[in-house]
Amino acid sequence: MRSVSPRNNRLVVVMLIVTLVAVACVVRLVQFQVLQATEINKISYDRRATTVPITALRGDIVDADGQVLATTVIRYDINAAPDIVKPISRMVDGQLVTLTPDDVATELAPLLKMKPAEIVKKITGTTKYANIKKKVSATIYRKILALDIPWLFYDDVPVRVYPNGAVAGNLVGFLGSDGTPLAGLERTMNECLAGVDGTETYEQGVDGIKIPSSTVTTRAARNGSKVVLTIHNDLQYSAQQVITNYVKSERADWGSAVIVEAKTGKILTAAEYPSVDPNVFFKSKAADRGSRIFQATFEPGSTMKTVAAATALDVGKATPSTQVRAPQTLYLPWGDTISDSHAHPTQKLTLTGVLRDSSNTGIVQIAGKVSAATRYKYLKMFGIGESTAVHFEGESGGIMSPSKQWDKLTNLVTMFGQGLAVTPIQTAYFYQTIANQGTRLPAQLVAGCQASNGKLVAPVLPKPVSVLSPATARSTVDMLEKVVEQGGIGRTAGIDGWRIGGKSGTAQLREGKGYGYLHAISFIGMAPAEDPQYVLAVTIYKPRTVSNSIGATPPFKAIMNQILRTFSVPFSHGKSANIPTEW
Amino acid sequence: MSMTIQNSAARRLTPSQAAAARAQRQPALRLVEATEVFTRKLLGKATLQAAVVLSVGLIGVFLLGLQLSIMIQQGSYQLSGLKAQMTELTTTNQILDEQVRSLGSDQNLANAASHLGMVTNANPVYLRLSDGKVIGHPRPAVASSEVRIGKNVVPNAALVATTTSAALASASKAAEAASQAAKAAATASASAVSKSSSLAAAKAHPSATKVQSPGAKAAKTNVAAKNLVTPQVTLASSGIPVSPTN
Repeated sequence: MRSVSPRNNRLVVVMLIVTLVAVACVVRLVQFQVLQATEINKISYDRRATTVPITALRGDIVDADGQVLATTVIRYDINAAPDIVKPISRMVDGQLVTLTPDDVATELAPLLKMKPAEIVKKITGTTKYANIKKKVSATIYRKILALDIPWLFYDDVPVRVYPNGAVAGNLVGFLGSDGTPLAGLERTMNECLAGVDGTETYEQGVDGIKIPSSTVTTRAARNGSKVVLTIHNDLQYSAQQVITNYVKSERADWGSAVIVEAKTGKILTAAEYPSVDPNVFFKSKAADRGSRIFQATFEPGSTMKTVAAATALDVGKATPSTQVRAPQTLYLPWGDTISDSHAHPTQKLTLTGVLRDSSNTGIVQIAGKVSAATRYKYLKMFGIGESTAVHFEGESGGIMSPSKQWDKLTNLVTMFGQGLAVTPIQTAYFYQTIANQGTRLPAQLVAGCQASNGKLVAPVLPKPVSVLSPATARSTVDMLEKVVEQGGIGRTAGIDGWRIGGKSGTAQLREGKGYGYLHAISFIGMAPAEDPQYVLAVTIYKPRTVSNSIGATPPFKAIMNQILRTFSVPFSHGKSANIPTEW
Repeated sequence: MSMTIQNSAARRLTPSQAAAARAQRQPALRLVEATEVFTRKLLGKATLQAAVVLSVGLIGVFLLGLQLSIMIQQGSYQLSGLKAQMTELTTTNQILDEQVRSLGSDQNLANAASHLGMVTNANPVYLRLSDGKVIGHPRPAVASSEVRIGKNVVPNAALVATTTSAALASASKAAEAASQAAKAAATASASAVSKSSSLAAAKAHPSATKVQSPGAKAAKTNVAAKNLVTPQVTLASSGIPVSPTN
């Protein structure tokens, strides 16, 4: 037996300690490097990494020629960090000048259009963030940036701008201050317009510069697409000028003008007043922020006689020269009466003459030969009762009860546009149907959604509706031409050099139980009559100064003149059809 | 040498004696290990060379790495700088874009036109070139009519830049100067002019300096000088006269 010497004993203890320490180290190493590795790496990465959002820009809204109606620009929020606000030094004329925060505030005040005291109040304190002013323009932002103030910080904010103001403002709509689409195409076309924000994540050093070897994770922002309208900006502007002036001068409630390209169904202009400037939409009354062209309904009145006459022609119950005796007042067997708006002795008119003189007593005798059910069917085909293919937000489809519910009087008054209600846009398409050889095309306001690669995705439109035979449509245009050629009101819509067909309407408006003294006056027409290309529907609601004798022809004529010039429509050739109006 | 001595001695001795003698002398020889020689040689030369090569290489790689790192670092700063520059230029582009859109807006154009005293013509009249017929009834255009006034009535709150009256004044001055120059040139070459003064002026505008010797050009065409002040009717492609008052 060998006894353990004290020297050996010490060695064992030291060895044991060394071993233990080594084991402890290994354990810790495994713990850090293997077991908790991912977790620790993540904490470390998060400390170094910064994620910067990449704002996707909302797409523009442009007219048919690419004129910008709505676009997105960058504005800047000016913020301060009050806790680090201190005097700044600046070289002025080779001398180092120290500016106190008050001096800086005085310098900023005129740029921000604020009072120096206001700014001082905002930058004083111990907080890390204080907004001084929101959405400052790039020009001002630059000037502030040049002042080189270390305790100011800036945030990019996308802001919607409508460069042409109220031109097509009611159609385009607007966004709320937080960027939420609130109205119009901005809302209904949001899917096309909105982009998808992206992010960029990278590791940065203390100086804020990216660490070179670090990886950058980028999720690219996808900018919104462009919405291309069928609207013709310049025509829209000039129509709005005319409508604005006329509504104001006649002290009407509102007015509208719709221009439709007859053979494509495209809406070239949808002008109205009161209009909304989307830049400052909050300045308009809530009721004026939408589009009455699509949302307001009214009893159209005599413009519907054209529809009743066309129906009678199409079912073979009448021809343009069908004869009728039109008295001033028609006494109906059940006691009701129907009267013409103007006093006249009993006239011997043809159907064309009935339209020319806009005779209520005449139209009910001729169109009355068609059954209510058939007329109802035609009215439906003309588009009453359903919203147009535009599906503008809040669009009305008009109001019409089924023919079975019509009483004897309603059956008759629908022939001259009472007992049913339509929107201004619908009235335009009644005449588009007639202008386009009897085929009603779907109303189109949006030409398509155009992605950045230039590809235009057109909206899916319903099929055209064949309403009238081409022959009926042609005869109807011939009759409408006689209205402008010979009619008392119609003549005031004529334009030298072109053949124009159209029909006036002076609709009584319900006031309580009966009809009030104010009217909705309208004139809907097309040019050139030998081969209609453009349909124009003008409606003036409740004018206070004009009676039915003038109607809506002055604005109709002014806008039609503009259409003819804008599209360089060749002078008309040939003469109007030889149809008798009287016998 | 020693071998020679040994051999001569051996000749004199008997073989057994020689063997004994050889046995006696043997311990003088020593065994040298091959590895020792090798090591000594290599340590002396090859190892040294290798070490030098290795360290030079290492230093080289280190320097290269350093250089690369510096370059990447610089690139990173350069990238950052260029990105800042791009932001700057994008901002400039945006500012200019906004100004252009504002100046080109319907409202600004209408206002500028009415500043110049222009009025919209509610009563266009056309001249059909094929038969010389005047279509429409000419009436003077007045500043306001029932449905049209020259003044803009469609609001626009987005006008950040507008055509100033100063700009308009200088533009009309330039046009006038150009017109005068054209007229002067036309009188000089009394026989012919190119086009109506208004067209020449329009061409010359905005820089009047462009009209240096319109007379030289004018001489080539055969339009009579008396037509100088007659407004020209230009034709649209469709053959329809574009109204001069449009």
